Amino acid sequence: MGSGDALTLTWLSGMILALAACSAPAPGNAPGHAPCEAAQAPGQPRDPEDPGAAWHSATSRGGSYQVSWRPARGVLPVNEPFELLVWVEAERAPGGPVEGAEIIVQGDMPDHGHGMLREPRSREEAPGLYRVRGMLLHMVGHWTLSIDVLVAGSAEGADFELDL
Amino acid sequence: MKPRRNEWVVAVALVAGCGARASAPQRERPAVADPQASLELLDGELDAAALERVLSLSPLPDPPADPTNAHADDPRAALLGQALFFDPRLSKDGETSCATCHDPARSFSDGRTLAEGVTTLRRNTPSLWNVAYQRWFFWDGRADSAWAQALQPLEHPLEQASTRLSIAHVVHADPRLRAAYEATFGPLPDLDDTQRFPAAARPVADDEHEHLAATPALGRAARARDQGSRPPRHHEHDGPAHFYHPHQRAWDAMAEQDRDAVTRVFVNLGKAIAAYERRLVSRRSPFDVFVEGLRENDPQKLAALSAAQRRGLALFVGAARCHLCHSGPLLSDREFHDARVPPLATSADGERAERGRSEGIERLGRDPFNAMGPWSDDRNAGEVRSGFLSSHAHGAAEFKTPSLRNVALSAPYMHQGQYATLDEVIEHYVSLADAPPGVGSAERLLVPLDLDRSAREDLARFLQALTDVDLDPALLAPPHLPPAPR
Ligand code: HEC
Ligand code: HEC
Repeated sequence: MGSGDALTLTWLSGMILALAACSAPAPGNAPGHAPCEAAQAPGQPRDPEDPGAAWHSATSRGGSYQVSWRPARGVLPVNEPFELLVWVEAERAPGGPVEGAEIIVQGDMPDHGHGMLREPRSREEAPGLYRVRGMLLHMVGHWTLSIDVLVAGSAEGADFELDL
Repeated sequence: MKPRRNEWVVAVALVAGCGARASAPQRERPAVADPQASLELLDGELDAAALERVLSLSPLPDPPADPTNAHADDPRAALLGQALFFDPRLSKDGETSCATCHDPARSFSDGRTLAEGVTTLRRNTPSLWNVAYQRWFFWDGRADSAWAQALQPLEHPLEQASTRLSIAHVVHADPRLRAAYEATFGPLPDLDDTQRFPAAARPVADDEHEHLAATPALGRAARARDQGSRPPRHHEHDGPAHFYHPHQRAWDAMAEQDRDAVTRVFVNLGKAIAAYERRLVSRRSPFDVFVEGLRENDPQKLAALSAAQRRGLALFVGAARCHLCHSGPLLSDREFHDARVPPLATSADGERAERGRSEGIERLGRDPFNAMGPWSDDRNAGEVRSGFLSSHAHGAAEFKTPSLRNVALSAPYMHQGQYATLDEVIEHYVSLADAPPGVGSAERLLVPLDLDRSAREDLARFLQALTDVDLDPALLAPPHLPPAPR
């Protein structure tokens, strides 16, 4: 990731991707499996280094933030360490990137009675853009990800679901 | 439960195209020539989703790099490590080597319920096949590299019970070992200077006695199962360390830089042993040949599994859901679960309750040789491995999911050798009749399975199809180290 300049992430208004399914085209798709359409959709933060990257977005539980994330290297690996990029914008006026937060990511497998066996940590890389290190989803199946934004001692997060 | 508004279903599609068979990009699996043709050759035994799961179990790639060990792939280090692995001089009684418990003739294990060291230990001896693919070592994962693991039995008072000084002296005094060491790691310190380098010395951890010895009840339970096995040796071992241990006293008397020089030698020997262990690879079992057949649409290779084994495989990735934890080409997720196996002895017998992985994480954090520590050759890689662990994410008594490759050869099974046969293991998973009541967030995955007798037999036969012991025989015995140059 480059300087703050290189990361002019824009947030276009309102709408969200239909079934936000795709990661960036994976380098090694089996023949016959077409890579995903590069999913640059309205409502997604734009990453000039990887304009095709798809972000998954949701409004936080209390309506304060728009939380978006994507795996830093495009694909979401099973049972390998990876990093997330998380982009947080204020929902309420005046809007804009949410700076100086700590991002707390928890993964759960509700059907299994356990969750992610790691405690990731975040670091802000550019205003509102955080890199979360220490992720590892060790099993295939249904996961819930909760991404909490901790600012000035109070946390508010957004929930996501994914099937590995 | 969390509120469910604003949720997005992120479908990481498995078969139908998008982005990823979500596997790590650097580990691509070979393609399937014609999946439909393979399904047809199997005559409907597997559906497309099951086929995809089967393909995820084979082939086993080369062992992953271990950047924390700069010598992991150095053949000279591996040869030295092999010599050390079989060398009983690296023990206090002069009789015990790694191979005493990890006997190549017994699939690098010992056939016992619980290991027998100076006395009965608390755990079953795992096989060392494919150990280089592990992420954590020991049943509770209290070591995070193969080299750091190897250092523990050498100094543990109930295992080889040696000291890093004694071991350094053995290597120094043996011209071949010394030459092999120095060719790889550079000159040994001047161990002839016995003023600076006493015969035996090591740092003694305060808690070393808490951990490995079995209680009398546990020892009796194990011996009752291993009838006919030799009784435990009655060696003296050093008592609890509430006195000033002579090894510690000798260690404290050394100059700091001499202590570091000896620890450096000790660590290098661990790295050499790990380089040897990396060669204990088993990856072309009948099951792997069968999967090659699936990829290549080759009926002859598909015949590597019998009809019963194929039915067992379909259960393994289907109704029995074994693949959820025994996943990936190692047939292990390399992480920890509560498989609800009852302990051999309980608190009623004076046995302390096992804490499994959460204790393993605590001990890993205290291990001076962990991958993030000063003896690691890549502390950043070590941080990625071990820097984000969470002991409270683990419920009661979780243990590492063992690999099932060569599993038929390493009975008895589980962390305390609770089950003598694969049939008993399967009986456990099917009925869970012996499972202790679940505590806290017990593994909800494990539910009794509706498998009749013939289905259980099929599953057991499939596990027998995971055997491949085709290894260079030169790796199964002490090596011939070249004579020292004159
Ligand atoms: C007295 C018997 C004994 C001796 C000697 C011994 N081991 Fe072990 N080994 C065990 C037992 C028991 C365990 C499991 C202990 C636990 O998990 O708490 C184990 C675990 C291991 C593991 C972890 C495997 C895994 O999958 O987690 C490795 C690797 C290993 N030993 C290598 C060695 C090496 C190398 C030596 C010699 C330096 C050695 N062992 C000496 C009994 C022994
Ligand atoms: C919830 C995860 C999970 C599932 C599902 C699971 N296992 Fe296991 N398996 C484990 C763990 C963890 C252990 C070690 C448990 C212990 O020692 O307490 C284990 C141990 C074993 C062992 C003993 C291996 C050895 O070397 O000691 C065998 C064999 C085995 N499992 C086969 C199976 C089969 C067959 C199935 C499907 C019926 C299955 N497992 C399902 C997690 C699982």
